Amino acid sequence: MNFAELVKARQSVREYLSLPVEREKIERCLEAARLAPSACNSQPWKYIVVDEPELKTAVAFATFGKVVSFNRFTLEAPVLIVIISEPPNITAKAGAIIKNNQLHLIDLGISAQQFCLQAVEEGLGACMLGWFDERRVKQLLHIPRRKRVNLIISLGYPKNMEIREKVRKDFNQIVSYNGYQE
Amino acid sequence: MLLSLIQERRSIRKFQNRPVEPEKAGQLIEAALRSPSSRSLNPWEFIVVNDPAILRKMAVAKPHGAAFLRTAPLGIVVCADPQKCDVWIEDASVAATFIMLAAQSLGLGSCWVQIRLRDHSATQTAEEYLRELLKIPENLKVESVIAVGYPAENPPPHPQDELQYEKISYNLYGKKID
Repeated sequence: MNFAELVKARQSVREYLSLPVEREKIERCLEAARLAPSACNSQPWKYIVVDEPELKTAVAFATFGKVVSFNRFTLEAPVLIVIISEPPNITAKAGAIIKNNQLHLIDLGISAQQFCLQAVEEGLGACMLGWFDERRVKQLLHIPRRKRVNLIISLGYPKNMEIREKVRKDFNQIVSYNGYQE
Repeated sequence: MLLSLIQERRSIRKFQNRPVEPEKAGQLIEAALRSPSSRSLNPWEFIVVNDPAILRKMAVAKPHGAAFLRTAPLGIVVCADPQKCDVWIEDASVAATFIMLAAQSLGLGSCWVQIRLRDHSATQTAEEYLRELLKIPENLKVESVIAVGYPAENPPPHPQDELQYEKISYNLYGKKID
């Protein structure tokens, strides 16, 4: 697929076949993530692939509760990708401006999206999750307490390859030239 | 002795990385087998799990309230045959409690993992999940799993003044002691 087609084909996939995902495919997605740009090339990310069935179920359980249950679909996904952010220690290098400490989140998003686009290329489906019990995930994966888990990506073969229509704001609502426009 | 055990008992969900000796496991089993049951029908059966790989799989039997099985050295699955006795739930619960009190008397800690009436997922109950995992035959229902191990936490006993004496009546409901 060319890039424009990838962008159209990428969608949040929440229904999966029970087929496991080959590690070679996961690794190609991770390679795309690895090559992402980042502020000062700090590459403030670490990826944990969770594909061992009972561990994956335990992590999936950490993504939903009785009240907030929209992430139940993670139980069906054969793989969960847990992304840890490692904020760069810019203060040590140059007197840092506070806002620079947030750039690593943007970098993480860029890297995660490259992962998801490669997944589409591989015929896989992915969904990014921002809501989960971070403490529980850290416990399960032995992530040091001071690290942050910012994102989880569910991954698997989609049950349905049909591309849904994307609901987005109109182009003119989000673009203006040479000045802000309401 | 038993009364002080009951006064001090707390559920333990954090365990030391230390196996339960076969002799102690044997004493827990004996306590379970000696528990009273309706008409002495003994409708229960027990699966004593000490294989860490299996315990880790049991820890995801349900989304909440089973995770501590991951680090428990022992998990005793309490099952019963409803065909043998209509009050199998009571009988299984009594046996499970005997296991928990016996464990405490041996310096172990324990915690009940409710399985009956609990779901693993939208499409499978916790009982079905364990049935598949442990090859439990269809005629047995699963009441609970008792996680047992050397405690790695030491919660204090519940204070006497926090006991719910208001739930006690004498001779007639609502009648308090004179």
